[in-house]
Amino acid sequence: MRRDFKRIVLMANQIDRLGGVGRFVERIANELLIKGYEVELVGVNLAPADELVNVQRSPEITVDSLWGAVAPEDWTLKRRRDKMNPFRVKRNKLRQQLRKNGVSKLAKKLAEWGSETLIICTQVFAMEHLWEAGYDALDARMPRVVGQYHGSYEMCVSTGDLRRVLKNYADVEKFVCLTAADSEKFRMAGLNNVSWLANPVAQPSLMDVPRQNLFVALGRYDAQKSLDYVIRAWSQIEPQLPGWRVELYGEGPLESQLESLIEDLNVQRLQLMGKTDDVGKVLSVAKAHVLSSQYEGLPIAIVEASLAGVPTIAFDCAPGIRDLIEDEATGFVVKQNSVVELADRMRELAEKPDLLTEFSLKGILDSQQYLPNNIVEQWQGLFRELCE
Amino acid sequence: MATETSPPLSDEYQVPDVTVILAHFNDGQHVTDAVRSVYGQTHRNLELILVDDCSTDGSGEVAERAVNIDSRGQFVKMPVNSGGVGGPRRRGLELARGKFVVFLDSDDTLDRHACRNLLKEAEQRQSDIVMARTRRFDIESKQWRGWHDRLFSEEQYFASIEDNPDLAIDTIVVAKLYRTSFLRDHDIQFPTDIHYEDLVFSANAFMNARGISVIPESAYVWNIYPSEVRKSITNQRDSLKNLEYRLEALRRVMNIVDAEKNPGLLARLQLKVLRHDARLYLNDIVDHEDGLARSILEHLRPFLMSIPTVIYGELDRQERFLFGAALLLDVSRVRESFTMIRNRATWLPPLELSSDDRNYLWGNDDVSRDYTLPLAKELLSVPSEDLRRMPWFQVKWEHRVQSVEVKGDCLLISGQTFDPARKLADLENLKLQVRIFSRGEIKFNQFIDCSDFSVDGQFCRWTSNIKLANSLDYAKVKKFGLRIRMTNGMASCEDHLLVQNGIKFPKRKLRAGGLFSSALSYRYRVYPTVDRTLGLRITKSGTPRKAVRAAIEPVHGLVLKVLRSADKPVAVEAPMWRWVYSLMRTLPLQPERTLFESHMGTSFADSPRAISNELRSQWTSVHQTWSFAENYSPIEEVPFGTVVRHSPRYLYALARSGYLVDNQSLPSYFRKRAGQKYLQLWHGIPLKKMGFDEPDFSNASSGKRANLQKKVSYWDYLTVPSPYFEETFVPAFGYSNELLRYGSPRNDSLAVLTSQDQTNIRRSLGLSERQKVVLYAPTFRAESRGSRRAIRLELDLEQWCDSMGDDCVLLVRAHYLNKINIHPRFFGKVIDVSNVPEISNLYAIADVLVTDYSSVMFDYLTVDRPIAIYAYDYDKYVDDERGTYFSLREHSPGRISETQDDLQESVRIRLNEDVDAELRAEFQHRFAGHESGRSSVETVARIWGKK
Repeated sequence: MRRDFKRIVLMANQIDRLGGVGRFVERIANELLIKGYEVELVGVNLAPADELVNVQRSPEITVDSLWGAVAPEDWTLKRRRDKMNPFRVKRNKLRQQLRKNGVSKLAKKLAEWGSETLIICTQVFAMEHLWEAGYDALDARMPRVVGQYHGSYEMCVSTGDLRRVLKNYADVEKFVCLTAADSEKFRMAGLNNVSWLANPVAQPSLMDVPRQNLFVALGRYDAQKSLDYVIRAWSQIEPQLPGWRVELYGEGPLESQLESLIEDLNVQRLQLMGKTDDVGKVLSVAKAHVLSSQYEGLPIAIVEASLAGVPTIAFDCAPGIRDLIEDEATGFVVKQNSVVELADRMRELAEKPDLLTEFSLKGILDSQQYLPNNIVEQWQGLFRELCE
Repeated sequence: MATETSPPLSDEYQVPDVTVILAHFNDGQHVTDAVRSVYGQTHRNLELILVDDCSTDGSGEVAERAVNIDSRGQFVKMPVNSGGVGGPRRRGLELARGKFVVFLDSDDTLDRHACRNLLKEAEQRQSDIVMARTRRFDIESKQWRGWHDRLFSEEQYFASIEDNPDLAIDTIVVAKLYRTSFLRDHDIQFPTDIHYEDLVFSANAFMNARGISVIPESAYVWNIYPSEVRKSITNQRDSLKNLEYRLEALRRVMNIVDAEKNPGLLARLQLKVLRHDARLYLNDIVDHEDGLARSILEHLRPFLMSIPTVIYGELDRQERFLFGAALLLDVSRVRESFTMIRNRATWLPPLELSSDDRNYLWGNDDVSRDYTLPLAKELLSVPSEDLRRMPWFQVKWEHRVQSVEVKGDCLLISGQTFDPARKLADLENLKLQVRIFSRGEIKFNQFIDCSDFSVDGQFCRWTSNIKLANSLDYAKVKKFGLRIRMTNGMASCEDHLLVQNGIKFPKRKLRAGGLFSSALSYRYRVYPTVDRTLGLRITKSGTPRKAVRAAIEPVHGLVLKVLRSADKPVAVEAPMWRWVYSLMRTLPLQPERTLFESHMGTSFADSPRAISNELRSQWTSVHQTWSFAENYSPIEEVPFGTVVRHSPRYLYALARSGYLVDNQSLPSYFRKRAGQKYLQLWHGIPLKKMGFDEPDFSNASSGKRANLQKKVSYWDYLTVPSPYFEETFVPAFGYSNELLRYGSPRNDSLAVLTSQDQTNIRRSLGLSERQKVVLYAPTFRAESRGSRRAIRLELDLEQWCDSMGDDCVLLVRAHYLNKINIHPRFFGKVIDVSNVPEISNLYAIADVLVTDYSSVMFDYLTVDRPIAIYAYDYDKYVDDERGTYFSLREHSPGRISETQDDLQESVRIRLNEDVDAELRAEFQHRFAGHESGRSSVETVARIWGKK
């Protein structure tokens, strides 16, 4: 019996598009190549120019797009006025044509790939293309397929994707989501093939500089990241922590509100820093990381900070949070939206340097599992299971 | 010489983990799909044994070809046809090499991951049986259905079937994994001489299994093919044959199960026979002719007699009636039982009181008077206490039509309502109305009072004289339903009009009045529906009239649309309607007009109602208009004009009324005009933080804050029930206009409550004097906002009723945005009073109030009786980010219970003795303030002036 696959195909809506799926595909592809697989990347269509990431990768990894074009936007014809709009109707037609061409291109690929291929389908839209292209789970001559959903279960429900996920992924070999908690929820929702694997996180490039007494938060200035909690917590402990500072990196719609809150509370050593391109640099100087989100999928910021030796204090805002932070061992998990507790924990970490070092070291060890080469080994375990 | 060769190690000879056994007979159409679903399993180490039962139509070859495409399959042919699936499955089991077996039928399929999921669980837990979910697919309607889904809600393990006998009701052998050695050790096999071999096999397996696992995954797709319609007598005769087969299988099951070893399993299987097996045949009796029906009953009887009385005790009353009738071989009463089972009527005549007054007995004719079977007598009786206790509005009344006539333009219906315990007869102010209604696109409602209400023994007789309203709708609606609504202002109920065979329906047709209706000349006929209820429908008409209609109808449609639109909610936020509303605001204000709204149009009660009543009695000149949400209709007649919320006429009323009275919030598009007066009678004293104290608002965008600010600035007068309210609510909303410190208008009646009032209220709710009344009023639960689904009551009613005894009645009142469902088996002991409009009437009679974080606790203090707090989700609810103004744990008007046991204990104590009077006094002093009973009077005097 065959022990492993020869070729791994990674499918996504677009290859090299800004965002979580893009990063996943890029990192996994490189690692798989190193492990000796043939690697092909297939996007359904092309990323729009403003969201395209320039990626350097080995020429052995082939990249293709089914549609060969950027998808026309505003193409649905649900309302009457849409149907009257000739430009829109034209875009709709074009889109349908592109999809049709893409599907027939994929059908040819399916035949070429054959049974030695495993397709990791990262998004449900690509899976729909596979079904249309004649993929048959029961046909042993076909490639095997593993389906993924790169968001939490709650996100899947709130975006209305759940029905599509359940329908399209029911019969593939495995459905892989990001956390154990999510996989249990997908299981209860009716998928019989669930499993989970975390996304790989790249080692941040650190600089050799001395660390400062500094808390950082890395997140957009918006309602989801709700950085106002950090500000309010800081306002309670600022007088007790001379020499410590807080820096909030990001940008977003709530900037002015956060500014006025800083003014209202009259906090001095807390600054809105704007957007940073060099997370490694920030994590090289900071001592602790704060995450005050209302909800999260699997926030990689926590892993990045851990890898950099920076422990995190986070709200209990996602089912995956306790997978990433072992409370009181690698960081602190704080009751959702409790300003008092957040402030207490920040102070505790600042006032106990030994504790901070302990968290930092254990965090570095714990987070190694998220490095791309380790994640890929877990994927290989999954491949072997599929061949059993 | 004996050769000893080591077994070959190649894949072919490896022991398969699972053997899939597929029995096949003449099913070439589906068998290939079944086989593909096996070979396509994500778990690959398996074998397939397809046993062909000597197919006669060549499908054996089809099956053989399908099996042979994979080396993991084996095609086996039975030597002779065995006549069922028992033989082939038996053969398959004998041949199986796998560690586990799974069964599959040739017209179904396995879920792709079935073997992997079942196997994983079996290996982890070392179970003998693993059960998974079955999904049924209805081929005709293309819909998915479940199969005993509640058994599979989570992953579970039971050491023996006695730990969860419920599992045994899933008697199919598919969607299960059996350990081969277990089946062989206990010699568990399929009988081949009977049908329903599954029943015997699975009972045997369940009984012997050491370790049964349940997984939530689905493993099996059961395809339901459209069956031939059974109509002809010969086909019906088949059901008798079928019944014999099933009874034989059931007899064997009962013989196999050891009552000593498996008492739970035996009892559960016996109950299943009543609930499922016997019911299958009894259900059909409704459509069978009498002779056949009787022979079915005769066949069933010996088996029913063998089931112990205690098992019958598990059944609901209506089911017990059914089996009682079945035991007496009384076909017509079996049919009538289904009227009760389908919840068309709680009871049917004749229901006679026994001589010892303890029971009512269903049936008074000769057959049942001479009860040959004590069991039947037991089943047909119902404790008279049960009947008496059930309040009148929880009963499904049997309104039986006795005659239907058409005289001129009038429809005369007379009928009788069966009232064995004289509930209706003793009720004061009871009003019977016929409701003519239509659902669908045009919602139509007309209420016609019944006349000549009279009591005749166990029956109430009534007549209704119906004249179709002079309404435009009549020409647009094809069918109307007719129902009876009964109300006494305190509560109401609505039930079908049931029609029995033998009622004559008039040939004469009815016409609706009005210009269009006359011109269009649609005519209606009364008819009995398939459900044996009463309806009205349009009759066919000739060609000339159709031509006339074709000409008029477009005009009519337009007129209807225009006229109706004034009373239909519109898109108020759209620019057009904003503009219309602003134009309306330029018309002169009408100071004599007052617009009332309670709970955003979903109630005709609370403080606005109290003010409305007071105003009406003092200032007859004030023209009152009430606003109601589109789908809300109050149970009592509204003596004022009404408008539908968000409709154009509502906008008009908002724009021109001089006074606005509200207890919650007017719509966001409301703009107050100069000279308009707005009285805000806020609907409760807050516990949770409100207004700008809510984190939602304190962090909100400035636009949202400004919006609230603006809304509040419209209020001219605010009712302030207590100093605490003044300290919390008033600053929370940044309110700065006049405060009316007179107490809550809605609590006026409680402040001056007399014992006569209490007696009257109890009587009109059908509660007796000696019953202890506990009112449970939980606060809003968000789980079902906007949905019409009922919320789950965090109270085990079974346990409550057992523990609180028969004298205690629990009234449950859901928050007005929530809905609850109470199983009929608790009727009389647990009563849903959510539809009683005025909650103060419930406070008035409750001996103990149970609540959680609701403001009802403050209002209830007016009557100064014990309160028990049931805060099962205290931390989740109280300690969330929103926060509360004070800690309920520190200041509470009564004991806080977090478990039901504790609550029951706490309520039981408080029903007997008022143990926390001091606590309550302190709480009252601090938070609730004093109710003088003159709040409405003073409020009206302050705003409209003294008379």
